[in-house]
Amino acid sequence: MTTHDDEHEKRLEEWVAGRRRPETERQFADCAECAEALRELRQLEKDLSEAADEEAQVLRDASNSPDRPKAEAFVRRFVETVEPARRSRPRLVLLGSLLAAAAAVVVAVVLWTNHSGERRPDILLSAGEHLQIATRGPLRDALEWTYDGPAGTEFEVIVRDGTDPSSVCGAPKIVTTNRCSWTPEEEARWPKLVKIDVIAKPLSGDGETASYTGWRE
Amino acid sequence: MLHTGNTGDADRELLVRVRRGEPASVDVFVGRMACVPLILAAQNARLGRPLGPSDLSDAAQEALTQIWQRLESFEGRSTLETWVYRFCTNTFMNAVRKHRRARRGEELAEEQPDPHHVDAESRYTRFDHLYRGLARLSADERACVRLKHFEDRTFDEIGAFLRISPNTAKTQYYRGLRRLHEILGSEEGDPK
Repeated sequence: MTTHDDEHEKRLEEWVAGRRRPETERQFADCAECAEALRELRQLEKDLSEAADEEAQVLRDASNSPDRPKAEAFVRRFVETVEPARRSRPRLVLLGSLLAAAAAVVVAVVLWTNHSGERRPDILLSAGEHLQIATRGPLRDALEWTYDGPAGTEFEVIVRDGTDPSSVCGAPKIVTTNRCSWTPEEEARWPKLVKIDVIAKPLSGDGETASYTGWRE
Repeated sequence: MLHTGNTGDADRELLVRVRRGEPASVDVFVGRMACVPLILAAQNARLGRPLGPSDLSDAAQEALTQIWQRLESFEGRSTLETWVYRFCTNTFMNAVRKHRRARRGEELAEEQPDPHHVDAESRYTRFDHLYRGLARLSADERACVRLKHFEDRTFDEIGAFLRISPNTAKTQYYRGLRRLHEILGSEEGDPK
Protein backbone atom coordinates (compact mmCIF):
# COMPACT_ATOMS: atom_id res chain seq x y z
CA MET A 1 0.00 0.00 0.00
CA THR A 2 1.20 3.53 -0.76
CA THR A 3 0.39 6.82 0.99
CA HIS A 4 -2.28 9.00 -0.61
CA ASP A 5 -0.69 12.23 -1.86
CA ASP A 6 -1.13 15.02 -4.41
CA GLU A 7 0.08 12.77 -7.19
CA HIS A 8 -2.71 10.31 -6.39
CA GLU A 9 -5.25 13.13 -6.41
CA LYS A 10 -3.95 14.17 -9.80
CA ARG A 11 -4.43 10.62 -11.08
CA LEU A 12 -7.95 10.53 -9.74
CA GLU A 13 -8.70 13.84 -11.44
CA GLU A 14 -7.36 12.47 -14.72
CA TRP A 15 -9.43 9.33 -14.35
CA VAL A 16 -12.54 11.40 -13.69
CA ALA A 17 -11.71 13.63 -16.64
CA GLY A 18 -11.84 10.61 -18.91
CA ARG A 19 -8.34 9.12 -18.98
CA ARG A 20 -9.45 5.74 -17.71
CA ARG A 21 -6.50 3.58 -18.56
CA PRO A 22 -6.30 0.11 -16.97
CA GLU A 23 -2.79 0.81 -15.62
CA THR A 24 -4.11 3.91 -13.80
CA GLU A 25 -6.84 1.85 -12.22
CA ARG A 26 -4.27 -0.76 -11.16
CA GLN A 27 -2.31 2.01 -9.45
CA PHE A 28 -5.43 2.97 -7.48
CA ALA A 29 -5.56 -0.54 -6.05
CA ASP A 30 -2.26 0.14 -4.27
CA CYS A 31 -3.75 2.99 -2.25
CA ALA A 32 -6.72 2.35 0.05
CA GLU A 33 -7.84 5.98 -0.13
CA CYS A 34 -7.66 6.02 -3.95
CA ALA A 35 -9.56 2.72 -4.15
CA GLU A 36 -12.29 4.07 -1.87
CA ALA A 37 -12.46 7.38 -3.76
CA LEU A 38 -12.69 5.52 -7.05
CA ARG A 39 -15.57 3.40 -5.77
CA GLU A 40 -17.42 6.49 -4.52
CA LEU A 41 -16.82 8.45 -7.73
CA ARG A 42 -18.08 5.55 -9.85
CA GLN A 43 -21.23 5.30 -7.75
CA LEU A 44 -21.79 9.05 -7.91
CA GLU A 45 -21.37 9.11 -11.67
CA LYS A 46 -23.80 6.22 -11.95
CA ASP A 47 -26.36 8.08 -9.82
CA LEU A 48 -25.88 11.27 -11.85
CA SER A 49 -26.38 9.37 -15.10
CA GLU A 50 -29.54 7.76 -13.77
CA ALA A 51 -30.88 11.12 -12.61
CA ALA A 52 -30.05 12.64 -16.00
CA ASP A 53 -31.83 9.81 -17.84
CA GLU A 54 -34.88 10.17 -15.62
CA GLU A 55 -34.93 13.95 -16.08
CA ALA A 56 -34.73 13.56 -19.86
CA GLN A 57 -37.57 11.01 -19.84
CA VAL A 58 -39.81 13.12 -17.59
CA LEU A 59 -39.19 16.23 -19.72
CA ARG A 60 -40.10 14.20 -22.82
CA ASP A 61 -43.29 12.92 -21.14
CA ALA A 62 -44.17 16.47 -20.07
CA SER A 63 -43.48 17.76 -23.55
CA ASN A 64 -45.81 15.20 -25.13
CA SER A 65 -48.61 15.68 -22.62
CA PRO A 66 -52.04 16.54 -24.07
CA ASP A 67 -52.76 18.57 -20.90
CA ARG A 68 -50.65 21.53 -21.92
CA PRO A 69 -53.55 24.04 -22.31
CA LYS A 70 -54.82 23.12 -18.85
CA ALA A 71 -51.33 23.47 -17.39
CA GLU A 72 -50.89 26.85 -19.04
CA ALA A 73 -54.20 28.08 -17.62
CA PHE A 74 -53.11 26.90 -14.18
CA VAL A 75 -49.82 28.82 -14.41
CA ARG A 76 -51.58 31.94 -15.70
CA ARG A 77 -53.91 31.93 -12.71
CA PHE A 78 -50.92 31.51 -10.43
CA VAL A 79 -49.02 34.41 -12.00
CA GLU A 80 -52.07 36.67 -11.87
CA THR A 81 -52.55 35.76 -8.22
CA VAL A 82 -49.00 36.32 -7.01
CA GLU A 83 -48.11 39.43 -8.90
CA PRO A 84 -51.16 41.24 -10.29
CA ALA A 85 -49.41 44.57 -9.73
CA ARG A 86 -46.65 43.60 -12.12
CA ARG A 87 -49.03 43.17 -14.99
CA SER A 88 -48.66 46.43 -16.89
CA ARG A 89 -51.87 47.80 -18.34
CA PRO A 90 -52.54 50.70 -20.66
CA ARG A 91 -52.57 53.92 -18.66
CA LEU A 92 -56.28 54.70 -19.23
CA VAL A 93 -57.33 51.25 -18.08
CA LEU A 94 -55.06 51.58 -15.09
CA LEU A 95 -56.56 54.98 -14.26
CA GLY A 96 -60.03 53.46 -14.57
CA SER A 97 -59.05 50.69 -12.20
CA LEU A 98 -57.71 53.14 -9.67
CA LEU A 99 -60.90 55.21 -9.83
CA ALA A 100 -63.00 52.09 -9.50
CA ALA A 101 -60.93 51.03 -6.53
CA ALA A 102 -61.29 54.44 -4.95
CA ALA A 103 -65.05 54.35 -5.52
CA ALA A 104 -65.37 50.86 -4.22
CA VAL A 105 -67.15 50.64 -0.98
CA VAL A 106 -64.94 48.91 1.47
CA VAL A 107 -67.09 47.43 4.12
CA ALA A 108 -65.42 46.17 7.21
CA VAL A 109 -67.75 44.20 9.32
CA VAL A 110 -66.10 43.17 12.49
CA LEU A 111 -68.14 41.11 14.82
CA TRP A 112 -66.60 40.57 18.17
CA THR A 113 -67.19 37.64 20.40
CA ASN A 114 -65.95 36.96 23.83
CA HIS A 115 -64.07 33.71 24.30
CA SER A 116 -62.93 33.28 27.92
CA GLY A 117 -62.59 37.00 28.23
CA GLU A 118 -60.46 37.22 25.08
CA ARG A 119 -61.94 39.29 22.28
CA ARG A 120 -61.18 38.32 18.75
CA PRO A 121 -62.72 39.23 15.39
CA ASP A 122 -65.01 36.54 13.99
CA ILE A 123 -65.08 37.86 10.48
CA LEU A 124 -63.65 40.73 8.53
CA LEU A 125 -65.12 41.51 5.14
CA SER A 126 -64.12 43.79 2.31
CA ALA A 127 -66.25 44.39 -0.76
CA GLY A 128 -65.94 45.78 -4.25
CA GLU A 129 -68.35 48.06 -6.07
CA HIS A 130 -70.56 45.22 -7.33
CA LEU A 131 -69.26 42.33 -5.29
CA GLN A 132 -70.06 41.65 -1.66
CA ILE A 133 -69.50 38.66 0.57
CA ALA A 134 -72.84 37.32 1.80
CA THR A 135 -71.53 34.79 4.31
CA ARG A 136 -71.68 36.07 7.85
CA GLY A 137 -70.15 34.40 10.87
CA PRO A 138 -67.69 31.52 10.86
CA LEU A 139 -67.12 29.61 7.63
CA ARG A 140 -69.15 26.41 7.51
CA ASP A 141 -69.79 24.55 4.26
CA ALA A 142 -69.35 27.21 1.64
CA LEU A 143 -68.68 30.86 0.98
CA GLU A 144 -71.40 32.91 -0.69
CA TRP A 145 -71.45 36.34 -2.23
CA THR A 146 -73.67 38.70 -4.21
CA TYR A 147 -72.71 40.32 -7.48
CA ASP A 148 -74.62 42.86 -9.53
CA GLY A 149 -72.04 43.29 -12.28
CA PRO A 150 -72.19 41.92 -15.84
CA ALA A 151 -73.79 38.53 -16.45
CA GLY A 152 -71.53 35.63 -17.36
CA THR A 153 -68.83 36.74 -14.95
CA GLU A 154 -66.45 34.09 -13.65
CA PHE A 155 -65.20 34.18 -10.09
CA GLU A 156 -61.82 33.05 -9.00
CA VAL A 157 -61.70 31.99 -5.36
CA ILE A 158 -58.38 31.88 -3.55
CA VAL A 159 -58.03 30.58 -0.01
CA ARG A 160 -55.15 31.96 2.04
CA ASP A 161 -53.76 31.55 5.52
CA GLY A 162 -55.54 34.26 7.53
CA THR A 163 -52.43 34.98 9.58
CA ASP A 164 -50.16 35.02 6.53
CA PRO A 165 -52.16 35.96 3.44
CA SER A 166 -49.12 35.47 1.20
CA SER A 167 -49.53 31.74 1.85
CA VAL A 168 -52.09 30.23 -0.55
CA CYS A 169 -53.94 27.06 0.55
CA GLY A 170 -54.46 24.80 -2.45
CA ALA A 171 -55.23 25.72 -6.01
CA PRO A 172 -57.56 28.61 -6.80
CA LYS A 173 -61.08 27.62 -7.92
CA ILE A 174 -63.03 29.10 -10.79
CA VAL A 175 -66.82 29.15 -10.40
CA THR A 176 -69.63 30.76 -12.36
CA THR A 177 -72.14 30.79 -9.50
CA ASN A 178 -72.18 33.04 -6.43
CA ARG A 179 -71.05 30.25 -4.19
CA CYS A 180 -67.95 28.15 -3.64
CA SER A 181 -67.54 25.05 -1.52
CA TRP A 182 -64.65 22.73 -0.79
CA THR A 183 -64.27 19.06 0.03
CA PRO A 184 -63.48 18.05 3.63
CA GLU A 185 -60.07 16.84 2.34
CA GLU A 186 -59.33 20.30 0.96
CA GLU A 187 -60.48 22.02 4.14
CA ALA A 188 -58.43 19.64 6.29
CA ARG A 189 -55.30 21.32 4.94
CA TRP A 190 -56.40 24.84 5.86
CA PRO A 191 -55.44 26.74 9.00
CA LYS A 192 -58.21 27.73 11.42
CA LEU A 193 -58.17 31.37 10.34
CA VAL A 194 -58.57 31.78 6.60
CA LYS A 195 -58.71 34.71 4.22
CA ILE A 196 -60.70 33.99 1.09
CA ASP A 197 -60.43 36.31 -1.89
CA VAL A 198 -63.22 36.27 -4.45
CA ILE A 199 -62.16 37.90 -7.69
CA ALA A 200 -64.89 38.74 -10.16
CA LYS A 201 -63.64 38.48 -13.73
CA PRO A 202 -66.22 39.89 -16.13
CA LEU A 203 -65.84 39.15 -19.84
CA SER A 204 -65.08 42.84 -20.40
CA GLY A 205 -64.14 45.66 -18.11
CA ASP A 206 -62.22 45.59 -14.87
CA GLY A 207 -62.44 42.87 -12.30
CA GLU A 208 -62.90 43.46 -8.62
CA THR A 209 -62.15 41.64 -5.41
CA ALA A 210 -64.01 41.01 -2.19
CA SER A 211 -62.55 39.11 0.69
CA TYR A 212 -63.62 37.21 3.75
CA THR A 213 -61.36 36.66 6.73
CA GLY A 214 -62.78 34.39 9.37
CA TRP A 215 -62.48 31.32 11.51
CA ARG A 216 -63.54 27.94 10.23
CA GLU A 217 -66.12 26.10 12.22
CA MET B 1 -43.57 21.67 -26.70
CA LEU B 2 -40.94 22.25 -24.07
CA HIS B 3 -38.42 24.82 -25.20
CA THR B 4 -35.32 22.75 -24.62
CA GLY B 5 -33.60 24.53 -27.51
CA ASN B 6 -33.60 27.89 -25.72
CA THR B 7 -30.29 29.10 -24.44
CA GLY B 8 -29.74 30.02 -20.83
CA ASP B 9 -28.79 33.58 -21.77
CA ALA B 10 -32.05 34.13 -23.63
CA ASP B 11 -33.95 32.67 -20.68
CA ARG B 12 -32.15 34.93 -18.23
CA GLU B 13 -33.15 37.91 -20.35
CA LEU B 14 -36.71 36.62 -20.38
CA LEU B 15 -36.81 36.51 -16.58
CA VAL B 16 -35.43 40.05 -16.33
CA ARG B 17 -38.32 41.21 -18.51
CA VAL B 18 -40.82 39.13 -16.50
CA ARG B 19 -39.61 40.75 -13.29
CA ARG B 20 -40.18 44.12 -14.93
CA GLY B 21 -43.73 43.00 -15.64
CA GLU B 22 -43.58 43.24 -19.45
CA PRO B 23 -46.87 41.63 -20.56
CA ALA B 24 -45.50 39.89 -23.67
CA SER B 25 -42.68 38.34 -21.64
CA VAL B 26 -45.07 37.31 -18.88
CA ASP B 27 -47.14 35.53 -21.54
CA VAL B 28 -44.06 33.69 -22.81
CA PHE B 29 -43.12 32.84 -19.23
CA VAL B 30 -46.59 31.44 -18.54
CA GLY B 31 -46.28 29.21 -21.61
CA ARG B 32 -42.83 28.02 -20.57
CA MET B 33 -43.80 27.38 -16.94
CA ALA B 34 -46.67 25.16 -18.05
CA CYS B 35 -43.93 22.53 -17.85
CA VAL B 36 -44.17 22.66 -14.03
CA PRO B 37 -47.58 20.97 -13.58
CA LEU B 38 -46.72 18.71 -16.53
CA ILE B 39 -43.40 17.60 -15.00
CA LEU B 40 -45.14 16.88 -11.71
CA ALA B 41 -47.87 14.91 -13.47
CA ALA B 42 -45.25 12.93 -15.41
CA GLN B 43 -43.29 12.17 -12.23
CA ASN B 44 -46.51 11.16 -10.50
CA ALA B 45 -47.38 8.80 -13.36
CA ARG B 46 -43.91 7.23 -13.27
CA LEU B 47 -44.28 6.51 -9.55
CA GLY B 48 -47.69 4.83 -9.93
CA ARG B 49 -49.75 7.97 -9.15
CA PRO B 50 -49.26 8.23 -5.38
CA LEU B 51 -50.77 11.75 -5.47
CA GLY B 52 -54.38 12.50 -6.35
CA PRO B 53 -55.38 15.51 -8.50
CA SER B 54 -55.82 17.80 -5.49
CA ASP B 55 -52.39 16.95 -3.99
CA LEU B 56 -50.83 17.30 -7.41
CA SER B 57 -52.40 20.70 -7.86
CA ASP B 58 -51.11 21.80 -4.43
CA ALA B 59 -47.64 20.55 -5.35
CA ALA B 60 -47.72 22.53 -8.60
CA GLN B 61 -48.74 25.64 -6.68
CA GLU B 62 -45.91 25.06 -4.19
CA ALA B 63 -43.31 24.49 -6.92
CA LEU B 64 -44.43 27.61 -8.80
CA THR B 65 -44.23 29.63 -5.58
CA GLN B 66 -40.66 28.46 -4.96
CA ILE B 67 -39.68 29.16 -8.55
CA TRP B 68 -41.30 32.60 -8.49
CA GLN B 69 -39.47 33.52 -5.29
CA ARG B 70 -36.14 32.50 -6.82
CA LEU B 71 -36.41 33.98 -10.30
CA GLU B 72 -33.50 36.29 -9.57
CA SER B 73 -31.22 33.36 -8.76
CA PHE B 74 -31.50 31.87 -12.27
CA GLU B 75 -27.95 31.97 -13.62
CA GLY B 76 -28.73 31.25 -17.24
CA ARG B 77 -26.47 28.19 -17.31
CA SER B 78 -29.27 25.88 -18.37
CA THR B 79 -32.69 26.28 -19.91
CA LEU B 80 -35.58 27.32 -17.69
CA GLU B 81 -37.09 23.85 -17.95
CA THR B 82 -34.02 22.09 -16.57
CA TRP B 83 -33.66 24.77 -13.89
CA VAL B 84 -37.24 24.29 -12.64
CA TYR B 85 -36.92 20.51 -12.76
CA ARG B 86 -35.13 20.30 -9.41
CA PHE B 87 -37.83 22.42 -7.74
CA CYS B 88 -40.41 20.05 -9.15
CA THR B 89 -38.54 16.95 -7.94
CA ASN B 90 -38.11 18.37 -4.45
CA THR B 91 -41.72 19.52 -4.17
CA PHE B 92 -42.99 16.27 -5.59
CA MET B 93 -41.03 14.13 -3.13
CA ASN B 94 -42.10 16.33 -0.20
CA ALA B 95 -45.73 15.90 -1.27
CA VAL B 96 -45.30 12.12 -1.62
CA ARG B 97 -43.72 11.87 1.84
CA LYS B 98 -46.50 13.99 3.32
CA HIS B 99 -49.10 11.84 1.59
CA ARG B 100 -47.47 8.64 2.85
CA ARG B 101 -47.39 9.96 6.43
CA ALA B 102 -51.07 10.86 6.22
CA ARG B 103 -51.98 7.43 4.82
CA ARG B 104 -49.77 5.37 7.14
CA GLY B 105 -52.49 4.81 9.69
CA GLU B 106 -55.14 4.05 7.08
CA GLU B 107 -53.50 1.44 4.88
CA LEU B 108 -54.80 -2.06 5.13
CA ALA B 109 -52.42 -4.99 5.10
CA GLU B 110 -53.53 -6.09 1.63
CA GLU B 111 -52.89 -2.64 0.20
CA GLN B 112 -49.14 -3.10 0.00
CA PRO B 113 -47.63 -0.73 -2.55
CA ASP B 114 -46.33 -2.20 -5.80
CA PRO B 115 -42.61 -3.11 -5.27
CA HIS B 116 -41.80 -1.54 -8.64
CA HIS B 117 -43.19 1.79 -7.41
CA VAL B 118 -41.43 1.46 -4.05
CA ASP B 119 -38.17 1.04 -5.95
CA ALA B 120 -38.97 4.02 -8.18
CA GLU B 121 -39.77 6.10 -5.11
CA SER B 122 -36.48 5.26 -3.47
CA ARG B 123 -34.69 6.23 -6.70
CA TYR B 124 -36.54 9.55 -6.68
CA THR B 125 -35.49 10.12 -3.07
CA ARG B 126 -31.86 9.65 -4.16
CA PHE B 127 -32.39 12.00 -7.11
CA ASP B 128 -33.91 14.59 -4.79
CA HIS B 129 -30.80 14.41 -2.54
CA LEU B 130 -28.62 14.66 -5.60
CA TYR B 131 -30.37 17.79 -6.86
CA ARG B 132 -30.20 19.40 -3.43
CA GLY B 133 -26.51 18.52 -3.23
CA LEU B 134 -25.88 19.98 -6.68
CA ALA B 135 -27.56 23.21 -5.58
CA ARG B 136 -24.94 23.57 -2.85
CA LEU B 137 -21.93 23.40 -5.19
CA SER B 138 -20.25 26.54 -6.46
CA ALA B 139 -21.78 27.88 -9.66
CA ASP B 140 -18.87 26.66 -11.82
CA GLU B 141 -18.67 23.23 -10.20
CA ARG B 142 -22.44 22.77 -10.57
CA ALA B 143 -22.40 23.90 -14.19
CA CYS B 144 -19.53 21.51 -15.04
CA VAL B 145 -21.24 18.51 -13.41
CA ARG B 146 -24.60 19.31 -14.99
CA LEU B 147 -23.22 19.97 -18.45
CA LYS B 148 -21.18 16.77 -18.34
CA HIS B 149 -23.91 14.45 -17.11
CA PHE B 150 -27.21 16.07 -17.98
CA GLU B 151 -26.27 17.54 -21.34
CA ASP B 152 -23.57 15.10 -22.32
CA ARG B 153 -21.04 17.81 -23.22
CA THR B 154 -17.30 17.27 -23.67
CA PHE B 155 -14.86 19.22 -21.53
CA ASP B 156 -13.92 21.29 -24.59
CA GLU B 157 -17.59 22.23 -25.04
CA ILE B 158 -18.04 22.90 -21.32
CA GLY B 159 -14.95 25.15 -21.35
CA ALA B 160 -16.24 27.07 -24.35
CA PHE B 161 -19.70 27.44 -22.82
CA LEU B 162 -18.39 28.64 -19.45
CA ARG B 163 -15.54 30.65 -21.01
CA ILE B 164 -12.88 28.69 -19.13
CA SER B 165 -10.16 26.37 -20.41
CA PRO B 166 -10.99 22.67 -20.87
CA ASN B 167 -8.45 21.84 -18.16
CA THR B 168 -10.14 24.19 -15.71
CA ALA B 169 -13.46 22.58 -16.65
CA LYS B 170 -11.99 19.15 -15.80
CA THR B 171 -10.69 20.42 -12.46
CA GLN B 172 -14.01 22.04 -11.60
CA TYR B 173 -15.83 18.86 -12.55
CA TYR B 174 -13.56 16.74 -10.36
CA ARG B 175 -13.88 19.14 -7.40
CA GLY B 176 -17.61 19.24 -7.96
CA LEU B 177 -17.91 15.46 -7.75
CA ARG B 178 -15.75 15.24 -4.64
CA ARG B 179 -17.66 18.04 -2.95
CA LEU B 180 -20.99 16.55 -3.99
CA HIS B 181 -19.98 13.26 -2.44
CA GLU B 182 -19.08 15.04 0.83
CA ILE B 183 -22.41 16.90 0.84
CA LEU B 184 -24.42 13.76 0.20
CA GLY B 185 -22.47 11.93 2.91
CA SER B 186 -23.20 14.66 5.42
CA GLU B 187 -26.89 14.56 4.49
CA GLU B 188 -27.25 10.83 5.15
CA GLY B 189 -29.92 10.21 7.71
CA ASP B 190 -31.49 13.58 7.03
CA PRO B 191 -35.17 12.72 6.50
CA LYS B 192 -35.69 15.75 4.28
